[in-house]
Amino acid sequence: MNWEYFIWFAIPSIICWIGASVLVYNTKFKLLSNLLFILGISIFLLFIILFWSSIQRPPFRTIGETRLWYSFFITTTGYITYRIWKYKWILSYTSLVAVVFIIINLLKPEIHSTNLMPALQSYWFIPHVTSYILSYSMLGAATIASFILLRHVEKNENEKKLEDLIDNLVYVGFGFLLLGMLMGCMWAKEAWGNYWSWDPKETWAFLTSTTYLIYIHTRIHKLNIKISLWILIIAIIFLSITWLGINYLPSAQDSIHVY
Amino acid sequence: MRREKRKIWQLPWSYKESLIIVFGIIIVGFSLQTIIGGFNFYLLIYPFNLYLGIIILIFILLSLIFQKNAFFKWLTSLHLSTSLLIAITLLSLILGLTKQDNGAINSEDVNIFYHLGFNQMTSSWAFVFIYFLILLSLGAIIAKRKPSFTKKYTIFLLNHLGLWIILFFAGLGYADTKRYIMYVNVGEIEWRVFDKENRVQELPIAIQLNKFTIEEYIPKLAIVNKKTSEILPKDKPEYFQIDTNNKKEISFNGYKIKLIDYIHNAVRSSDSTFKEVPMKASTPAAFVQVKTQKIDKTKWVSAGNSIQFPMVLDIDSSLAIVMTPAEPKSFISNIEVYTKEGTNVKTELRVNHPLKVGKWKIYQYGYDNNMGKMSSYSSFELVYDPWLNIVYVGIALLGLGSLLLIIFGINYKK
Ligand code: HEM
Repeated sequence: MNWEYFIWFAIPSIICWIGASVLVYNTKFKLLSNLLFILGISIFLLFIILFWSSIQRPPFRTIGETRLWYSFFITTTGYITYRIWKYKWILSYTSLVAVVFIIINLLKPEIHSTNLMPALQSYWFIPHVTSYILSYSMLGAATIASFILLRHVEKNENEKKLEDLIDNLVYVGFGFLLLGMLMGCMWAKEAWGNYWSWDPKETWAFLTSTTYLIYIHTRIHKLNIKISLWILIIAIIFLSITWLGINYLPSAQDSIHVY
Repeated sequence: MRREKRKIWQLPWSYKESLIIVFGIIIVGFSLQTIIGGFNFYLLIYPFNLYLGIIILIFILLSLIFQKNAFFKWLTSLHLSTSLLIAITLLSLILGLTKQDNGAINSEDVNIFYHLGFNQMTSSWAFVFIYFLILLSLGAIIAKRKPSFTKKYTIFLLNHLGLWIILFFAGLGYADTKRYIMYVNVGEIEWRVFDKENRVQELPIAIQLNKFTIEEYIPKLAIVNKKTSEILPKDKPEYFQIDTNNKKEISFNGYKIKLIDYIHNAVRSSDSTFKEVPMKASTPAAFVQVKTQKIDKTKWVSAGNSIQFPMVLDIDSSLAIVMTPAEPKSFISNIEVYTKEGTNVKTELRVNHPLKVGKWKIYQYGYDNNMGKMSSYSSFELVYDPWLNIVYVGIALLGLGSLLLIIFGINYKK
């Protein structure tokens, strides 16, 4: 199993997700839409499992592979949040984001290397990266919700439930972000003898998390919600730079995290 | 009814005043930087870090005693906390956008940003001031809050105390850490090390390198344009992973390629053949067949190393099949460590598996990259960090705090 077969899993998944996102608005097809969405996730997961077992190393190495996980986790989290909070639009938005990442992967898989360098061979590798990807998908979902809430706020509509959803996604997403960072520290200490060295990726991860901390603390005493929501949008920009943009920063040319 | 508008600087202070004060401090920091240069963290070497730590603790105690005082109220306010978080984010943004240097400065790099300390942000006065303000404020916030056995307080305490411990001991303890590189030749014993400035020092610890081995991954094949050295296809280079279990003919870039034989530790035995010889100078080699309607060729292909020439399979006048250089899978130093106290440890050291000897930790660091498997030495990093364990306590508390945030989410308040 390799990337050549990806398209045969990706397209059925996309069809399931889009079908589910459309059908969910019709109460008659509620069950069908739930089943379709789960089927989409399962087909996608099947590819990940088959791919993992054939390359004989965890598929966490290349950016293409992390995008694979992102598509999987964002649809899974999207589905769980839909079940808990009953927002139908969550399904369509998370599907859309997943589809975008799948299309990027189909056009630009970045699969050059299959070999792990010695520093990456550590039991911290999988939990570290999984934690980050989980966090990214929740914070991504929180951003989508914050755009929607911003529109309501403009119209002076009160959406307490949506506010709570965003807070919840940020608390949980930030928890994973912090956990991923701490595991990164432990790993760095074992590999390089240093738990923190202000490497560009570390610096950007740090300022991303302080931006989320600003959001969390402005929410405690209910500062103007519009300001808080804009902080979330700035935060996701920082997060994207941490994740994808580091390779292009002139300040990061010697970074150990560039791959 | 209209509330009367609060005037600026009227107590209690809010965002405006907090942001003005915090950014005032940053400006003071930058001014100080241009006048006297960066902050030297090594001033905080023991016992001076201890004194500073005690001053910080006394300050926190004072904040607890004079809780009603408007200044300490402001010091523990969310307004100041958020302003400090904004400040540290902006300073980190500078840090993340500018190239940090480790001492080597070209004269063209000496500009206004250099004088402001942008190139060594973490030891610039502005950064250090904000860092210590966070330590003071966060410490006072933790001390002030009434303990209780609620979910809310537990999550608050784990996150804030964990972070405070990390910041306190990592920051104040930084000057006490020592870090050296040691180069040891195979078969020799060494106790001299190099510090950051490349000065030689002698340590009470010696390492004998008995053996150094590198294991390599099985390499890949690629088709290359001999004139431009580009790998085909041009816009999306493709590599053919050698798979010794699967020697089927494969269509690769329009050619039918088949792996006939592969030797991981190969040495040239004649002009055009290889044989297996398990020695350091060996290199992977593959016997490959390439076919089209017009051609049918077989040849040994190898990436070579500093002793053996590379071998390529010429498909035609412009294209050739080449092997990629082998990537290291692991490098292992078989060492014996001796200390002045008389301890003697024998082990195999590899990346991600450091060795703890007394107060030192020894890490596999590197080797002679040009020589690869034939490297005549291995290098080690020796790290002494007396405050490490307490920082780990902070990491554990913070980790627990984040785990609880994940579990309870928004319900942590209930
Ligand atoms: C890992 C980092 C941090 C996390 C996860 C975190 C999280 C939280 C949470 C969840 C609360 C609300 C507690 C409640 O509802 O009672 C809180 C309160 C607060 N945090 Fe943080 N925080 C962090 C770092 C900081 C920092 C660096 C500062 C200061 C510079 C700070 C200042 C405060 C203050 C002043 C409060 C209000 C305390 C109170 O009501 O007694 N926090 N924080």
